[in-house]
Amino acid sequence: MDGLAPLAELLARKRPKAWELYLWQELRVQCFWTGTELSRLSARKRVASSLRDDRSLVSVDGCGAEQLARLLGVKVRAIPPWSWDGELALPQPHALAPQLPPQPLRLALTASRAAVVRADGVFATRRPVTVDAVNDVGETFSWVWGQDPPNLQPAAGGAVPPPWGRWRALLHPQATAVLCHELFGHPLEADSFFSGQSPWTGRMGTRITSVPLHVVDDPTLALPGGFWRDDEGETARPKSLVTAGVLTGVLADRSYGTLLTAEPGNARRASPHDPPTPRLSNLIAWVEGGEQEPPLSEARVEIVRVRSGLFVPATMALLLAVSESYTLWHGRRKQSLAPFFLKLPLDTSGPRILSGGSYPVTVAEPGWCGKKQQFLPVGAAASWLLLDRVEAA
Amino acid sequence: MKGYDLDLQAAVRAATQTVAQKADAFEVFCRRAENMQLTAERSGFLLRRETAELGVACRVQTGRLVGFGRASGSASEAGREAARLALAQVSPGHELLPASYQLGAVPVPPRPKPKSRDVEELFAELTRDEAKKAVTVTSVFAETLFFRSEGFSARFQNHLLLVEWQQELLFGVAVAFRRAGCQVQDIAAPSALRILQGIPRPDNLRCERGLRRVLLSPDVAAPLLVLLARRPASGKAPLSPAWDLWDMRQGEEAFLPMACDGEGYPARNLPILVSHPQGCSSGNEQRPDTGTSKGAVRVPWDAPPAPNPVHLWQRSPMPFPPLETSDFEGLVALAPVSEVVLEGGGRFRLLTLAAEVQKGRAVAQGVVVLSGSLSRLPHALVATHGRHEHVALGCIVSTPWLLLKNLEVS
Repeated sequence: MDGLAPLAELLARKRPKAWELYLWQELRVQCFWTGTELSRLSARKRVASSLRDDRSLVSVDGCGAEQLARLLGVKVRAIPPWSWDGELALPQPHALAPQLPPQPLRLALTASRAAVVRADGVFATRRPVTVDAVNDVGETFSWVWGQDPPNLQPAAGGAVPPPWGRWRALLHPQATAVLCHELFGHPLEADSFFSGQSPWTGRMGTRITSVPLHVVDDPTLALPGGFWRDDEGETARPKSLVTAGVLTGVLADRSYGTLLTAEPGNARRASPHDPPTPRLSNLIAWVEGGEQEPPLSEARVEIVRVRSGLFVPATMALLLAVSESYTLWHGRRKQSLAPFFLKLPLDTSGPRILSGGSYPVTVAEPGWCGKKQQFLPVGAAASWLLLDRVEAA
Repeated sequence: MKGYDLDLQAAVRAATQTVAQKADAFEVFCRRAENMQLTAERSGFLLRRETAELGVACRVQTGRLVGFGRASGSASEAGREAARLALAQVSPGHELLPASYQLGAVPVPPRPKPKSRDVEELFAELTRDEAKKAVTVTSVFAETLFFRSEGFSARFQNHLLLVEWQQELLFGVAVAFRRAGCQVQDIAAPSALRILQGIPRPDNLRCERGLRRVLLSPDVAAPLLVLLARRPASGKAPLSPAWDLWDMRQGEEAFLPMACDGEGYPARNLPILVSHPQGCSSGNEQRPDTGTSKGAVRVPWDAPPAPNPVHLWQRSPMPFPPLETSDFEGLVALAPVSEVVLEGGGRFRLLTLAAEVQKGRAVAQGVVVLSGSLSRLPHALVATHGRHEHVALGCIVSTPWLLLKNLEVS
């Protein structure tokens, strides 16, 4: 990243003051896996930069001297020569072939890097190379290059409607990950938390579930949402959102970090054309002291796969779009259920979690998370959860 | 954002020099966009965004193999990089480039650009309404250049205004409204809001699970129309006579007129669901056999050509009066609360804010789940109500209120 230090000096002298200059590169290779071979290869390289202050964001495609001069309002010759550390490169997608199942998939490999130039220094960051897969029913999966691919089979939905009334449901790790993403991840992002859209506003430091549930956002893990510096140049660090059932943390960027005691380090953006906002990265959830094996005999319905989730403040309920589930009879699968919405009501003490596992398992869905039309890769690891008094919506 | 390399011809020259004699044929698709966006966050924070984007997509063909590369940056750099990536990715399975004799363009008359002052006044007017939160107004200018190695080229420009905001219509239910227009006058307040006016505390809506006639506001109808436009053509199924749904790409009504599609075929308006009870056809569904070869567009610039809708327009062959002045009584879906969830077998589910209406006024409201089978919607349209509203959803949907029968409500 030679030569960017003089840019920090230029930025420090700029009037009106700017918060940061952001430089970004992304390389993506896409292809189609027929079940036996790769075809339809294509590649995309995006390069862009932006300048942000307290009232504006100006962005432009390209990171050349011409673009940077335009952003900083100086002559082109005032921009020092600089270059990235080497070429941004991706591994050959053909290396994935031996690990892929005999079913059609759309695949993408993505690598990206960024440099945040601030008046107090230059901070470079690089994301892990991620692999994204979409199966033929549109389910998405993400994992880090070099790790084993997850189960990419479509969810096995049945035809039987879910039971009436309220019942106990046992959530597999993938379903728990989506639940925690929607119930603790987004609502504890500072912009949601302080806008009044979060069920947890005003409840920081209080117990929200009777079991010792832990939820941690950890961008330093080798999962698809990982990074070492956030998109404002702040050092990434694990942040406990829920500690032993008590709300303890909020995901913040620098602007929210100055307003409250929360530490910044969670600012993310899809590209320089979007402003950074507080976003979750890799969410890890488990219950302290829980069993490894799920208590199937205590549940009426086993929720294996969930496609998406939505928190509805008006009804104080979380809705999960269940794609694979089974009724249980003495712990054994009885019937395969048709897709349905699972409704999890929140009472004044939070979600009705009866118990959970203490060993989080890495899961690859949903892989990408959208908010305000910015889509970002996210990672997750979760254990099973036993929920009480849920129902089909 | 003036003063640097935005010359699309430079991108074509750079791509041409890079491909040189290394392919039988190639195409270069360039798009530059300049956006100005004003945003008011819920906290009252105001952000002004100016964006200058330039992207180049290049397809090269060698025998039956095709390579596809895309790059953004300055024009010449992006043109060179897109061509280099395309040559490096030549592989089987891609659609072949159209034969050169099939290429063509239609004229796109220039339209006046919305004035910055008008855009700022619109933003100021919207933010004065305290009920509207997170207001965003975006003025978009885009220029597209399509070039084929055989010598064909087409160039056209578009302007568009996009407006979005959130509004709490029921305690804890913030609904996102998104509108599009060529000019400020095209942006009108959602008529669904008028249904709720003057009723301080409607009773909570209680809906028994079952099949019902439901009147859908433009905001609820729009995502369903997009799903209908994206589903595969289903042949000669009988259609409700009220359908007159087109994808507008030419003419005065089209907000985003184009000279040619994403592959270089001349642009034309595409019928999506069109019934002609009084015409020569027999009231059957008319759907062009587009596949991916004709009418395919690139949304966004770096996507491969695909048959996506651009501007859906449901005409009103038998217009009914606006709902608030009509004697309509029944269930009205006012605004979507969630995205549409599409399940296997073509079933959709949508959470909406709904109201029971008597004499054009809401007497009860609440959140309901609307669901049904996509394949049954073509038979379910009973009538249309009111004027068109222009909803932005990735594409533009211009539709009046739609009265549908046999929707599942729970």
